[in-house]
Amino acid sequence: MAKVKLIDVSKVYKGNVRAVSDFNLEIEDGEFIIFVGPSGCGKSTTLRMIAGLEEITSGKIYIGDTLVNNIEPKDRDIAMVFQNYALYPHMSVFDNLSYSLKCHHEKKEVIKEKVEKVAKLLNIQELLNRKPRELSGGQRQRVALGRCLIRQPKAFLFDEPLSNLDAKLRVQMRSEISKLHKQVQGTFIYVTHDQTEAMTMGDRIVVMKDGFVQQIDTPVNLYEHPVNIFVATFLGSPQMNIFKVKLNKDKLYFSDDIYLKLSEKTKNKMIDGYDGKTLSLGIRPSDFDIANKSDYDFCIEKIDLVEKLGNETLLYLTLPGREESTIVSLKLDMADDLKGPLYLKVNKDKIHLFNEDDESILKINDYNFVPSKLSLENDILHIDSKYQIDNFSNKCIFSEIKQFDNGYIRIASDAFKTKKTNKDDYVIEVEVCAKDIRSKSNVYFAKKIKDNIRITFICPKDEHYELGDKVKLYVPINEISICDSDKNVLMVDENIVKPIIDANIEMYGKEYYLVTQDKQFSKNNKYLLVEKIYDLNSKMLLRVINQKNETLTLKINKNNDFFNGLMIYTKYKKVKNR
Amino acid sequence: MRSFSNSKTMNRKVKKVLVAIAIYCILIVVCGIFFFPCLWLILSSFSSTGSLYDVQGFFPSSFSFDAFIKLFTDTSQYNYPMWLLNTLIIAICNCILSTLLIIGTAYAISYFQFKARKSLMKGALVLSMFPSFMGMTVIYILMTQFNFVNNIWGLILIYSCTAPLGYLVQKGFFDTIPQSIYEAAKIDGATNARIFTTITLPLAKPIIVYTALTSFAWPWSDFILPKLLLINKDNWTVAVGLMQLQQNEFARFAAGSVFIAIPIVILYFFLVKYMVNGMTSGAVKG
Repeated sequence: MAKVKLIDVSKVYKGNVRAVSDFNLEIEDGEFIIFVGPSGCGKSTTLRMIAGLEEITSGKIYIGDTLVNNIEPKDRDIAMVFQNYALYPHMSVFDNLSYSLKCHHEKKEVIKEKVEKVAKLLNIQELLNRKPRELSGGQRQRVALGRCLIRQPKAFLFDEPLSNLDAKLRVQMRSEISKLHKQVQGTFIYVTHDQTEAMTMGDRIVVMKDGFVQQIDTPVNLYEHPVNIFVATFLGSPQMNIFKVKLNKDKLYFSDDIYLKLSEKTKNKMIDGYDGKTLSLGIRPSDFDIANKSDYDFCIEKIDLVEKLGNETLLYLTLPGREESTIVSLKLDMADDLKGPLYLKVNKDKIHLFNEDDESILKINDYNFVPSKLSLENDILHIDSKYQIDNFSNKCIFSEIKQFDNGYIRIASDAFKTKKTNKDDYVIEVEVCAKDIRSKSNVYFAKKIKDNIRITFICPKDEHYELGDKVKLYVPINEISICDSDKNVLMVDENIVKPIIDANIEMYGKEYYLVTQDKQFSKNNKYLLVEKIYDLNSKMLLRVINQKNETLTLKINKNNDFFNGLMIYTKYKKVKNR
Repeated sequence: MRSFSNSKTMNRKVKKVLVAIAIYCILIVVCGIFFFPCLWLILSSFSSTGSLYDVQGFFPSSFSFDAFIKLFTDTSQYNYPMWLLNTLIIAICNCILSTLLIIGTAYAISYFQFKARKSLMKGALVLSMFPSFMGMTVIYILMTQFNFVNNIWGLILIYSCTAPLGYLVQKGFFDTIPQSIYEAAKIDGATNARIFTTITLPLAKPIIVYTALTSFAWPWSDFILPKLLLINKDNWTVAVGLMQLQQNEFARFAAGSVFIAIPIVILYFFLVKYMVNGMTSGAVKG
């Protein structure tokens, strides 16, 4: 048993066909991981690259601690189950099972013992003397599994092992493979195109499309927090309904008069810049429910089709914002009459909003921008004239700038602490209004008490709050950034070196370096990698990294000689805010 | 309604029988055409006089085993047992060598992906389109250079060296063995050599038998090459030797022809089941 690690793995076939692009994944020891995606998404190719049956175009694959890029499949110590079983047709089941042991020169008694053990585990003792062609599909599948289980390989690979079985047998083998995983505690890598197999079997799922990894997460997280429309619609059956809607303040408009009011949670998730934009709205069929006449989201006059499945009833409706019919899954009594106007409501906490252009999900705010009046005087930062942070100017490179009437302070969502860490901490009191439980952390959406400013904060998994809880959040000063009215960060929290005069800008490779003879720097530190430039009215600020990997901020006057070099730098390298 | 369907089924049955009868009639006629020369040859071999002109209509005037006995006893002028031995040595040696070469070639081209694969296959296809006797002059000159004229080993060399050109049928067979079986073996830890001996060869039994049989039969009945290269009477093969018989020795010729056909027929009857046996069934979901 071992870890499997893939780093930037790519596969390009002849004719520049990219099958897999930049695949990064670390599979834990004993983990059951599933590659899922439509045909041609590169999932089997990735598996075959791990097995060594395909060459890697670029990247690295580790099995255990060994780099296996140039190791033959036979020496990788892995086992694989093929889609068509790939049993040796001329050998009996016993010989099929023992082939790998014979290749590794095991003793006859050991082989016999191991074969019998595996045969017992898979319940195929009776079949040991038969040839593969005398077996049924399910039995062949068991033998193929047995061939893997007979030795203790570092990883078990499964290439769509159940797709040749009939539906009933598939369900049975599915649970058997899951049980086997628990018994042997091995690292299982399983490829399938069937989303039910993926959801039911895996510890984690890798969703792929066109050679790119879309999302890697646990089944529940994939279902509840898909990163884009592809993942959202691929997992879950019947699949998620996607609508084109327009966001107007806190309402999503399907058409001029049909809209959905957002819940607190969803509202908080949204970045303010989306107001007035067209978005894609995803609603799972099961998140619809019957409503009463007074409180409903949709009133349906006509139902196109009803499918009664016994435990649930599927309705096919025509709703605005979507050309295909919308599927609604209801837990209804079979006898219920579905005629007449039908009132439906949507579980608004469970809706998903996606960007229209790249189909990615609207992200949780990474940063909170709190509108503030800011002033900076004599090393003291005043925020809204209520809070003041002493000695702030030590950390500020903009000591010249005194006043921000429409400024913001920017705090990263994960910078909030619930306990005081320092006496200088900035304190915000909020009321929790929604939460989102993730695998590694809890995301809370809150309102700042009194002025209703929305705050998103991320807590470690062990900190729980209920809706309505009032929480005091502490922010260390060095996590606070000051922004101008356009939300551009105007502050860097590094010490400033004195103005330098004697320097040049030089380009090496794609990077620009500041080459200086200035006495502030030691002899070894004359080449400084230019990371970022802030262009102010009379001055420029330069963030550079010296050879010791320390970040320095340099101040230069615009009349300096190398100013022209800096201009070239800014022209060719886009300078982004942090 | 019922009577209608009954008459329909009756019609169908009658039609089936009629079609079967027609097919059998055609087959019998075709068989007759094929077997007539064969049968005539066999009957002629039992003719006592031995002359071609002795045959009246279909049957010879009198029957005896003389021709067969003479074939093996009267060896002073025509040494049939010697010819038979030569033919047997050539056929067996060629059978072994050619089978090894053809199977090796076919497996290499089917299994390994290498740069020259496509061009080699095209080249082989083009070369095999030329009839073998086109290169007779060249072969003769080459053989004289190597002092291989009038030597059955020279003949074996030529037969087995040209054999791999006809690898296409064997490659087609190897192509039907699913790649995943090889891949499974690789993952099980087998080397290329082990895969070839423990997976490929057992699976290829039918095609090996077929290859061996055709490699055996080809020099057994070939005439042109031995005629070209074998000058000395004692080195002749049966086909060359029989051609040298006098006109009045027709019964002997027929007896020699019949006798040489026997081993091939026996071999065929014993090995035919291997040739048709589809061994790969059950390997993958079919």
